[in-house]
Parts: sequence; C-alpha cells; structure tokens
Amino acid sequence: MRKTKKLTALMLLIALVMGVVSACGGGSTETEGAKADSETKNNTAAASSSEETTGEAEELKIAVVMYNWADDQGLYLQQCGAYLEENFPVKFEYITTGQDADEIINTIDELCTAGYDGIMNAMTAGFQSWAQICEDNGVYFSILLTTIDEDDEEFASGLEYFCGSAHRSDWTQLGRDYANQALEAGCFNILYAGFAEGMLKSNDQMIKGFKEVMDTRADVTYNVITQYPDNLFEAITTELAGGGYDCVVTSVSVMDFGVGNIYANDLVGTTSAIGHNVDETLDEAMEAGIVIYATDNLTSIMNMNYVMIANAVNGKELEGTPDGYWNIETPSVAIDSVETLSTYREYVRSTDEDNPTYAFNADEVRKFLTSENPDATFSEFESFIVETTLEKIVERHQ
Amino acid sequence: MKTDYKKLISDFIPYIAVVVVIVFFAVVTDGKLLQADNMKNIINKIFSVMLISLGAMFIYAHGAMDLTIGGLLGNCALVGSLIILSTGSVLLALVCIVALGVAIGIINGALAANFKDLSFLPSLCLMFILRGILQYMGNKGTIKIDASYGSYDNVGVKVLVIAIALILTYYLFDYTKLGKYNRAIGGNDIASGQLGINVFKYKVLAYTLTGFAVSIAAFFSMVRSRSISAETGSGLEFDVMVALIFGGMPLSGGSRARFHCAVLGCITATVLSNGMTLWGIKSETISLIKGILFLMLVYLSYKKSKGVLPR
Repeated sequence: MRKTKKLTALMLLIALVMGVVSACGGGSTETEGAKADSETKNNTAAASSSEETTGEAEELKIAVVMYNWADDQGLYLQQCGAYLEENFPVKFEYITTGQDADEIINTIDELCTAGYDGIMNAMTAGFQSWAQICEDNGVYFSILLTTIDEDDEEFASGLEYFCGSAHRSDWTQLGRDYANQALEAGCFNILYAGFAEGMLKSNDQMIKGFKEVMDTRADVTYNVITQYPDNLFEAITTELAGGGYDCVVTSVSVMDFGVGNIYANDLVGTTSAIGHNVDETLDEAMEAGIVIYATDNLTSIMNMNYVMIANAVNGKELEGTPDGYWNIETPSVAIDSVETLSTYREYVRSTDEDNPTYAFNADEVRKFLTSENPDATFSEFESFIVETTLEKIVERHQ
Repeated sequence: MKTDYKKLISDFIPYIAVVVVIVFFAVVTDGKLLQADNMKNIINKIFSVMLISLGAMFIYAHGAMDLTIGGLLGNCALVGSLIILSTGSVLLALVCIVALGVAIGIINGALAANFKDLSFLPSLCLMFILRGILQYMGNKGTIKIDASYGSYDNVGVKVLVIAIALILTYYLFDYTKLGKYNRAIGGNDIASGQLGINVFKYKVLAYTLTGFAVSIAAFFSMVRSRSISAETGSGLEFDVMVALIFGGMPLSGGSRARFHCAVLGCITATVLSNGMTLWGIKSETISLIKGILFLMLVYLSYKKSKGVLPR
C-alpha cells in the first residue's frame, strides 16, 4: 500500500503537467507577442488581435460571464455566440463563476489581465468593484440579461468603458401579463411559484405585477410560493398535492418546474402552465394543452451585446448614443398557441440544430456595426430592438 | 544511515508542484502570469484563502475540518456593512467583525471538541445556521456600502497582513504548544489526553484562531466587493480545504501536518486556477482538473489511524 502511494505521488507530478496539457486541447486561443505587452492592452484596436491577416478585420475576444452555461438559457446563448462567430471576426469564451461578489470580482480581474477585448457579464454582484476594474484595465464591458440598482446605474454613468445594457427591465408588466392570461383562460385557482424574495429583481417584479392583477379579482383565489432554486420543484409538488390548482405560473427560467410537476403528479388536463421558457419541451407541452402561454426574451440579447462591444472596440459608437448609463428595453416574445409556437420555431428559434434561425440575424447585425455601416444611429438600433415582437420578426424575415 | 529517497521525494512534492505550476504557466502564458497586473490579481485572489488556511491548519492538524468558514465570513461582512451603514465608522466595524469571528470560533470549537470524532457535525449545523441568517438578510436585498470604502482594499496592506500572518502562524505552529499539541491530538487524541494535554482547550483555541482569521478576511472582502448578499463567502470552506490538501495537509492530521501545507497549497491552487484562466482553458475543464488532482491528493494524504485499544 505504501509503495503504491509513493508511486502514485511520483505519477502525480507527471499528471499535474500532463493533465493540464492534454485537457486544454483546443480550449486556448493563440496569443501573439503583442498581447503580453501591457501597453497595448489599453490600445483597443491592437490589443484585440489574435489573428491578423492582410485585409481582414481583427478578431475580437469577448468573455461572457454567467453562473451556469448548462441550462437552456446558457446553451441558447452559446448557440447565438456560435452563429456570431461564423459570421463575424469574434471569439467568445464562456466563463462560469459563482454568485459571490468576491469570486466575480476576481474572475473579472483575471479576464482583464488575460487580454480580452470585451466582457459581457450577467453577474452583477459587486458591480461597482468589477466595473472599476474593467475601467482601470481599459476593457469594454456590458451588462447581460439582468438589471442593476439605481446607485450602480449612477456609477456606470461615469465610466468610459461601459458599453450599455440591453435587457428587459420592466418585469412587473410580464407578471401582469401572466395573471391576465391565466384569467382569460378561465383559471380561478392559481399558483405562482417563484424564487426567494431578493434573489432576482426580475422575479420580485413579476410577483408584484401578478399580485396587482390578482388582487383586483375577488372571484379568483391565488397563492404565491417562493423558494431557493434547489427547493422550488419540491415546494411546487407539495403545494399542488393539496391545492386543487388549475394553473401554475412560474418565474423566470423555471417553466420546466411547473410543467414537470404537472406531468409527475398526473395533472395533465386539469392544471395548465404559464411561464418564461421556450426550450424543446415546450412543443410537446403546448400540444398537450398544458402550456397556455410562454414568453422568451433571449432572442436578441447576445447579438445586441456584441454590437455594443464591437462598436466600442472599433472606436466608433452608434451616432446619438446617450452619455452615461443606458439600457434598451428588450421585449419578450409571447407564444399563446400551437400556431404561434410554430411561427416562433420557424422564424425565431428552431429546434433543428442543423438549421437554426435567429430573430436578429447576421445581416441585421451588420446594419448596426459601425465598422460596416458608419452612419448607423442609436435610435435606429433602439427602435429595431424594441420592435422585436414575433409579428415584426416575421415581417422582416419573410 | 540510509537516505530514504522515496520519502524525500514525497515530502518535497508540494515544493516541486508549486515550482512546476509557476514555471509551466509562466511559459504557456508568455510571461503574463508573472506580470505586475496579474501578480496583483493573484494576491487579491489568494488573500482570503491563505489567511484563513493559516488559521484552519491548526484545525486540520488535529484531524478535524471547519465547514463554517464561508458562512462566518458572510456574516462578519454583513455585520461590518450594517455598522458602517449606521455609524460610518470603519474601526467600529472592524472591531465588531473580529469580535463576532472570535465568538463564533469559540462556540464552534467548544461544540466540535465535545463531539470528538463527530466534530464535523456541529460545524455542519453551524454552517446551516450562518447560511440561513445570511439568506434571511439577503432576502431583503443586497447590502451595499459606499464606493469610498473601497480605498481600504489595498494590495500593499494585504501583502503586509499576509506577511504578519505567516510569521505569526509559523511561530505558533512550529514553536508553541498550540501547534504541537494540535498535531499531537491529530496523531492520537486519547494518548494526547493521557499525556496531560488539555485536548478541549487546544481544539477550542484552534477554532478561535480560525475565527479570527476569517474575520480579518471578511473585512477585506467587505471593502473589496462593497456588497453583501446571501451568496457572500459561498464555498470558501471548500476552497480552504482544497488549498490545504494541495499543500499536502493530511486529512487525518497529526505529525505530518506542516506549516508549508497552508502556504504552498494556497499558492499552487491559486496559480493553477489563475494560470488556466489566463491560458484560455474553459471553466468546466478547470473544475475537472482541480477535481482530479484533489482526489489524488486526498488518496495520498489519507492515513489510516492505528487507533488505541480500549481498556
């Protein structure tokens, strides 16, 4: 046994090196001598190159930071990223980090040193600290998917390397929409299942909007349960077991908790679901009549953030870009029938991996890249994004 | 006397590992690892883990582990933030943070010492309590302090704090009863007790010292992030465990627990993680590599206790 341990100890030394060498294959981008030069780090054009060929644009290296890349949201954003990489000189690296502010700040610190041209960050804990790090290192950054507090918005206003934010900020209306859809469907005993209060601003706003509508209807009963993600599925199970609910409304990204519980508890036909998720399971659930209303706000997020950072690195923002903090409201695409879902799949997000579709395609992205269209304006960009409804997408791509 | 080369190699593996990791990543990142900016990153990243590891090694030396570290750091930072928000006094915040850290350390130590072989149980329970408090407060929203307090987050000060901690803990671990007795307890707590060592006292002291280290780390974490949420300090106890194991700390404690375990382990773990990120390795691959290495090191460091026959 001791001999084995000693031998393993020796092999560990080799494994420490070999394991890293063998595991990294294809995961690293080539670096050139210029990247190690700390002076060029602040020179946005020169520092960004990892491939430089005559007549071709320099490839941007952008880090995208989130807590989880394995869920539907993460996989879809990576798919959008892959599409952008095929059509534009950009390389995305998907970085996972925890939700602890310290960890996020350390991660951003390392990414800035690693020579990334831009960072899209969905993790806003410790915002002022990591935003300042990006500013100090001359790395452009944008806020992906989520909202920040007012004092953070004020802080961001004073930063030169802040590229903007593009996400839905009014989730209260979505909560109201969900409530109205449930009532229109004739539901009168509704369960709302969301995350623990304070976890996500979007979640809190949705609950508020939902309650606002429900409280105006004395003829309808409802219950709101909130839990941490790990416990939410079970909490829904417990509630459904005793409640006699005819509809389950779920908060952001956990539609599968509601639908999963309906299947698991044999409630198909008696309980319907409303939520915010459009993964592959939605099709079957909608055809079975379980899901009566679903929304999605991921359609343009990745492409928008790419435009914002690419223009900043290019040194020319869209004409009329506001000073200070700004956010473009991204609407949610709503799906309320099998027919709508079919249209959605055809024009927005196909389940066919070999033939994907995008609401904001490469040609449309090019219109707002100042490197290709120097006359593009911020108001045009904003109008385009705000009009990302299903009808408008179909109209643009027919 | 014949030289045991195999033992020599085994004893020097932590030193070899740290040199290999530094040289390897310095080469593959074209020197970026050793640039001033990145050294600053490494110092910031290593600070909390090393400071706490220097305290926790006394606990690991007597064969136990502390699962409250992350929750305690979060609660200390929370208390500090609330005091700053209500009084504006950084000094008062620091005093209260330290008081809380030491108090929880004493309680944790007393509970662990009473539970003897099941010392991880009270630590686990306390971890849930501390996390629960943090989540309860976190539900009310993220607590933030003004950006101006960020001026206390100074790399030079951190280097000084670490240097003092290194000197102090080296002395305590190698030259005082605190270190020697904790290692003796790790070797065999029954025999240690029979030799006249106050096992309870020295275990409590080990946890108290760790609580103190956590409180200092919490202060700097608070001024660096300037925002406290339910996730503050999450997973830190495992980062400390990984760092100590990487440094060759035996999970069973005892005489093989060495001062260098904390230092070399923290450096190796941090440089490994930092180097892989700089090199462009994907996050999931980094976790995979760390997991495999950790498993191998746990296997190597585990030593079956010979035990003492009951009378």
